[in-house]
Parts: sequence; structure tokens; C-alpha cells
Amino acid sequence: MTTLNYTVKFHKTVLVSFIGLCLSQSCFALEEMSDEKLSDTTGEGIALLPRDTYMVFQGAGVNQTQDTVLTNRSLDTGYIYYVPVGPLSSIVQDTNKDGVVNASDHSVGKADLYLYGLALSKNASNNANLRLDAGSTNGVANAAIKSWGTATNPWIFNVKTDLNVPDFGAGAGSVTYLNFEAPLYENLYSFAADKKTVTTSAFVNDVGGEDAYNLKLAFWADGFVRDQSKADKDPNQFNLGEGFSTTATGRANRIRLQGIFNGFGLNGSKIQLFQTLGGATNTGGMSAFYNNTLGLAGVIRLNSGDGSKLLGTSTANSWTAPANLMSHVFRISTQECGVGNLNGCTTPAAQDILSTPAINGGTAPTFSDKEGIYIYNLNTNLVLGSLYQPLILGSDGTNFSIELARIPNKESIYKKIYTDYTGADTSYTGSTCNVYNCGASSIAGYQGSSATHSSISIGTVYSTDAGKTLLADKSAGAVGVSFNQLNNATSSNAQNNLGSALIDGMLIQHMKITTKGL
Amino acid sequence: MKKTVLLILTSLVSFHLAAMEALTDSDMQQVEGQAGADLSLKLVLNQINASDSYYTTNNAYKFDNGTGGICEKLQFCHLALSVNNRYVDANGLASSTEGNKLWVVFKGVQGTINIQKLGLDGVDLVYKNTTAMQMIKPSIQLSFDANQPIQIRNFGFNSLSIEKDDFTSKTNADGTVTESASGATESQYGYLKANKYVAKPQTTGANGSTANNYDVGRETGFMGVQMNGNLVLQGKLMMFSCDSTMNKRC
Repeated sequence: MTTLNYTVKFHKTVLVSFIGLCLSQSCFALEEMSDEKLSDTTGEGIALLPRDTYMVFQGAGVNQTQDTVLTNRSLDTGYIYYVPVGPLSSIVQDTNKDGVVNASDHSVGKADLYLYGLALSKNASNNANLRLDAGSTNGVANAAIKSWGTATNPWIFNVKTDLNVPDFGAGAGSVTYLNFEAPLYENLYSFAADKKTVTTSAFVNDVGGEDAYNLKLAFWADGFVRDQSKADKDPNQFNLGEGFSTTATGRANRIRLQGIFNGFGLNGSKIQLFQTLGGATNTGGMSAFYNNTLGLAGVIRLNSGDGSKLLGTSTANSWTAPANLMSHVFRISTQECGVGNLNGCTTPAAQDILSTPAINGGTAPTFSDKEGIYIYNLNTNLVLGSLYQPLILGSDGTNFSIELARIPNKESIYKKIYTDYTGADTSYTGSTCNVYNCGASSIAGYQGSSATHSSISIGTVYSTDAGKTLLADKSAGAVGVSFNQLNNATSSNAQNNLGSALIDGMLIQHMKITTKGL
Repeated sequence: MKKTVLLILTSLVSFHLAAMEALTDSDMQQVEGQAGADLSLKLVLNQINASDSYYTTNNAYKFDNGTGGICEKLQFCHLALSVNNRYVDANGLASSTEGNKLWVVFKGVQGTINIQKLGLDGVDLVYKNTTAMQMIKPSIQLSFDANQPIQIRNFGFNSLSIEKDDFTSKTNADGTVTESASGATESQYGYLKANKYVAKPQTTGANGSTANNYDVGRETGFMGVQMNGNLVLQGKLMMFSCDSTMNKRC
């Protein structure tokens, strides 16, 4: 048996003093911070900077080496499946609109959609039929985005407060919002004195971050017509016939396509999340439903770059396509390689017309490299609302709606949105967001993001007012959309050249999208 | 002897209190960083997993809604969101003050996400400031390897639905929300509604429809999403504080 023997005996007073000393340290309780104190704090936010990065969604299976990932495109079978739930309504099934659903109607199916092989990388080889560029240099994939932004122009996630934002009524308030911003778009474009000739300067601020302006987004997809009268996995689930409630085998009830977007950038995009201000009543076209709910605003910019110099050469009996068309192109194609392919890629064999890797297993298909719709030099700049004209969500209990609030009849708001194109009245501060600029900028060297109007341009598009508005080029050399790849021709223009296209200065006054019949 | 003991003990406890001070970037740079950590994270949400008694390789990654499964009661495998001040009033009209509260309900939320390797390091981010001086910023670095992809298995939800409470609630002047009357039962809450589709035979006529056998047994809604595959992600994500000296947007 062990006993404890103390060699030192403590007096109780010593022990008490000791405990007392231990306890007599200064303690500071946590104190509540007042709102005033909090608002003095500078919200610094988190900066994010992806480097040497790419992604591709490959099929479930064993791990692959980077070399295999970069070269074997048949493994791109990882998918996002949009499951169609909910029965079809009688209205959609009454295809001949005679008020009854019966054998005189065509069949209507539900849509199954599989989005495969989603890949985001750098456009390293201007190949519009390759979802991810192969090869690597010193262990870094050629497809890797070296730096998506820079240390001084990174992605930013922060919380900000804008003071004195006009509400829907007579007042104003402050709006605190969660802000997620892509790197800014460097101010690369300058106009000569004629306000038309564009000079694209080299990167100064974004040196090292050039890859952000040259991305590649790619995917392929299978969409099926599903017969809802068949249970899931029934052998006839995709064999919907032509007439109401009929089954027929051998029908091509699948659309298969590939989308590849070469040479674009997201720079200048941002999304804001906040609580809307109040003040709206059910008068003047407004709705009290706008008040104090979740609001969204954003600027979505997908830019390929200046398109004013993208011109072919046309003479009486020759047409020469502009160089490097594949460096900035959005291509959607549907044709698979296989026996009888007119474009020459006769191998490997095309997959069955109702086959898809998610159900039947197997590999990703091989798409023909010349077919499809080509959209050259796409510049999309969409402005979706603002802190004073938010995008809100609504519902009637079953269906849902997305609504961009109506612009109130209130000078402090509409003068911020509308544009006086003559420039005579400078109190109208709205402007259009396009590749050249996107509203006033407070940061030197970069474009702003405060514009209020959207712009979508395809192909050869130029400006005659130093970038404020755009015009589509109507000359014979202009390019924009083509079915099948554009090639040189022995006539004054290529037969499949549909020319440039432009939607400019688009302002959304009020928009509501509602689902029906859910 | 006793005084000596007291003195020794006192010296032991007489430590200094000092306020916390901000570390400057150059202080941080002095710290010798050691190699970071490689993490692997696996999330199994509402699916049959290896520790279940009824697990077989055939039912791996399947929704665990069988007898005794965690989602046997489907209403408890929902993820519901209610956006601020969204109601439907007694006339069926949208209201932002009072009425039956609306929910966006993700039904049958499930999935397995296995991050095989997530590198976590602290690194110096070197950059040039506006006066072209070389600066250093401490940063967290998350890294992913292409040869160890993120495994995603049946991740998503079975159906998405808009539901409303069977009772009314209202938003008070101070922004809080209260139920108009107490005593609401479980099944009256919008996010706990677990209705399912039943088989429907073919009918013709004004309200006719082809048979519906596809949705049988599924929870009501309008869209489901399911992700499957190996997400190959290569690269490094630097995370650092965004201060106004290096970036005017902060």
C-alpha cells in the first residue's frame, strides 16, 4: 500500500494567499460592440487568387495521372443531371389546341438533361473542338490559368455599405451588401481623336494575370425526350412515339451537343446580395412586394476583346477570312465522328442514338471538328439591376417568379439609370457596359462597373463615339456568326458568313419571369 | 522557510499582461513557416455509408430512405430556405408583411463528396505595389492535385419545391417574425411537407393526360439535380486579407 508523505507543510494562510494571487489577475470581460463602433471598422474582406489552375469534370472511377487527365478527353463523363420532376400539364399536351387531349395530339415528353465534362481552363491552342488543351511545361499544364487576377487585382469577397441609396418611396437609406467581385477589367482600349480607331495597349497593371482574359469554357450535353408514362429505367423510357401516348423504337429522341467558348474573360463581373429598402406601395406600377426582402444585383461580363479590327478582305472574286478566328469563338456543335461523316472524321464509330454514359456507361463521344454554329468574338455585358433596382424572388405558393423591380418614378433613381445620349443633360448618369468601358471608374487603370445598360455584340463591331455606343460593321469583310467554320472563298463573300450582330444600350425597365403550372 | 515558499510561488504567478498587438507583415515574414497540412475530407450526407448494417457495395451512395434509414421520414431530409418577408396573403397574392410564409425546399438532399487531398499552407505572396516596390503579403494557400480528384457521388437533391406554411405569420415593425397564433403542428410547416406523386392512368378529354408512372414515389416539386463524377481540380487558391494599401476596392 502506498501512502503520500508530504515533506513541506503549508499553513492555510499560505495556501489562501497563493490561490488569491492566482485569482487576482485582471480579467476583461468581452464587451458588446455598438453599431457605431462596428461601422468604424474597415471591412477589408477576403481576396482570392487562383493560380496554375484548371478544372474538368471526369467520370466516377479511379484516380488518373495528370498526363491522362490532360490527354484523354473520352474520360470527360462526370455529369450534372437535371431530373425532370412533376407531371406534364394538360395544357402542354393539347398540342393542336382543340381543347381536349386525345389521340389527335402529338406526344409530349419531359426533358432529361445531362451536362457532361464541364471544364474551365486557359485557351492554350485556339482549338474549338478540344475541351481541355493537352500537354504541360515543367510540370505545369499548358491548360492551367497561370494567375486568375493578380495580387493587386484579385477576386474579392467582402461586405460593403452604400450610404444614401434612394428607396422606392420618398426617402433614402443605407444598404449593406455582400459583394463578390471578379478581378477588374484593365483599361486596355483607347480611342484616337476620330473617336473610332481603337488602340489596344499591352497589359500594365495586370502583368502576370493575362490568362484571365483568355479562358476556355467547355462542356458537352445529352438531352432526352422522356416518356413520363414509363417508369424510371424502363427499356422504353426514351422511346416516345410521335402520337399521343405511343411508343416507337428507333426514334432519335436525344440531342447531343458540345459547347466550347475560347478566349474570353470574366473580369469586371460582380454580384451583390442585400436586403432591399422599403417605401414601395401598390401604386404607380410599383409593388409593396419589393420591400425589405432579399435583393440581388450584378454585372455579368463575358468579353472576348475588341472586335473592330476583325475584318476579312473582300474583292469581286475572292474573300479572305480574318486570321485567328478560333482564338475568340463560342462554338456549339452536334455532329459526332463516325462512319459516313462528311467532314472526314470517320473514326471512332458514333455512339448509339439513345446512348449516354450516365445510363449506358462508356466514354465521351468524339465530335466532328468542322460542323456547328460559330459565334466569333462574343462580348456579353449584362447589367442586372442595382442597389436601387434589385432583382427579387417571389412566389404565389406553388409557382415562383424572378422580378427585376420596376424603375420608380423618382428623379433620384431614374436619373442614375437613364442616359442622355446627346450628352446635353449631364444629370442623367446612366451609361452602357461594353468591352471598352462599363461606367465611371474610381480606380486608375481599370474599367468601372457602374454602368446601367447592357450590350451584347458578336463579331465585327465598332464605335464612333469613343466607346459609348456600338455599331455593327456592315461591310463585306465583317464576320460574326457562321454555320460551319468560315473559310476563304472564291466569291465576294463566304456563303456561310451571316455577318455581325449587336444588341446595344439595353435597359431593363421592369422584368418578371414566372413559372406556370407547377 | 514558509516565506521563501510564498516568494517562489508568487514569482511563479507574476506574469505580465500585455494587450494583443497587430503583427506587421514584416513580423510575419520573420516566422519560419513549416510545411503545411494535407487534409482529406469526406462528407456523406443522407446516404447509405459503410458503417450502416445494411451497407453493400450495390447500395453505396444511395439515398438512405429505407426502413431504419436516416431518411425514412422524408420530411427530415429537407433543406429549406425562407427569403426575408415572402408571404402569400389570404387572397393568394404576394405580400411582404403578412400571410402564409413561403419556403424554397430542397427535398431529398443527399450526396457524398470526398476531397482526397486538400493542401493547406501558409505562403508569402510577393507582389509589386503602386510604386513598383516589391512587397510581401502572408497568405493561406489551398492546393488541389489533378491526380487526386474530388469524388462527387449522387450529390444533389431529388426535387425542388416552393411550399407555404398552413398558418399565417407576420413581420413586426422591428423586423422580427412571429406566428399569428400559437399551436401550429409539425405538418403545417411548409418545409416539413413530404407529399409524394402517385401513379396516374392515362385519361383523355379536356383535362386529359398521358399516364404518369415516372414520378411515382418521388417527392413533389419541379426539378432535381444529381452530380456524379471525379472533379479534377488542379491549382492553388491564395486567400489573403484585402487591404486598401494593395487594393483600392477594399
